[in-house]
Amino acid sequence: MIYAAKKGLITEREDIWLCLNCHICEARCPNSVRISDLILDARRKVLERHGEERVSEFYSSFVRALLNIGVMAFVTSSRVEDFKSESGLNIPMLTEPLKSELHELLKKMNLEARLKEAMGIERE
Amino acid sequence: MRGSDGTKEVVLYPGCVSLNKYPGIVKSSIELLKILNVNVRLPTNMLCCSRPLERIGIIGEEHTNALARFNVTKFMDNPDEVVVVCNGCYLALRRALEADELGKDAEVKAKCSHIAELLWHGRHELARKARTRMEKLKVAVHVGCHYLFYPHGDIVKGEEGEDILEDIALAFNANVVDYEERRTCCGGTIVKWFRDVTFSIPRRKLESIIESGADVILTMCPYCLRTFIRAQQRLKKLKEVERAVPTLHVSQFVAIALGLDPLKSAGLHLQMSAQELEGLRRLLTF
Repeated sequence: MIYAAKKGLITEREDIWLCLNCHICEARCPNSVRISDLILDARRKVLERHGEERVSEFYSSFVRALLNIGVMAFVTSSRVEDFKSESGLNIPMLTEPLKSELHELLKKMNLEARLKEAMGIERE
Repeated sequence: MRGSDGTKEVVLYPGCVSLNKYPGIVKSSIELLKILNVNVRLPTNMLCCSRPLERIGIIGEEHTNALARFNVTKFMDNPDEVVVVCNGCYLALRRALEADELGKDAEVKAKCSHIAELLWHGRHELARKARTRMEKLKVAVHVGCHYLFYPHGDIVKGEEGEDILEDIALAFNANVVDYEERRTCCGGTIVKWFRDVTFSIPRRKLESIIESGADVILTMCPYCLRTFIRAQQRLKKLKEVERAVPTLHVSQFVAIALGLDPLKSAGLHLQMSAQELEGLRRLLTF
């Protein structure tokens, strides 16, 4: 599968995007094959080689949020906001110096450019 | 690490979904750790565990591991133990903290535990402090794949029951119902453009749970909890179910059992309708 992904032979197949990554198949596999890892690796290869419009469409806002504030799920309800405030759970998101450190780390791993390329976004 | 008074100290890593969607999970976890005589700190800043990006294929395991190391050293002051409330965070952080490249690095010394493991270890001690009667409650247990089938090491297995959550439920005298789809995935992890497939998986699971006659779903993963809540909202809209089964995180379940406030401590109003909350009240007599 990985070979096929590297060669671009499975980009048109949707099977690799259907996997739930639940690891149940691994728990049952008599040969202990790391199937989930293989699937995720295939997904990466597809994204590296061709990109995938639907991934960008659905997930670019999450990547943007990770790069800019550090989290991918954020508060969208005032009731949740109030509960967090009253409970002392307002943990700060990434502030400027920490954000720069994170970006340095991502650059070191050559990940920032990859993220932008794979997702078709630019850091704001 | 032990505090000056000999108590254990941990950092509770809340995870994005629980912190920003269901913060009652975080608050009840903090309160329960205190009851277990554990000193709890929160991270100074919040950075995602990045597992969702790895799952989609946007980043690799090595990147998740590096981000976990950054998270633990920068925002948690490198503790002995990081406690998570989410199975996805558990997979990402435990794997990273046990990886060779981190294990050899003296700078990162933390181990990762799930709050359910701490509650499981302390279940008999906690049960002695219980104030809410759970005998009438029928519980459908959903451990969640990224704990139940954690692929990189051993997990806590059930002693009195089939799994960690059944043991906890039984310790508080709740009734655990069996259902056919007990060990299947909630479906929350599928990539999001396959709308029909996305919905068909939680639908099958939920139909099985409803058929079992369960009053609540008990889980240890906020992402699974979110999937169950949203899928049931859709099923109700489609008029495919007559009743919704409220979902509780294990920390909220134990918090309620101990008599902590279901709204102020467990934040149940943030994930249940008034009707569902009332139904639960009738079964539990808070």
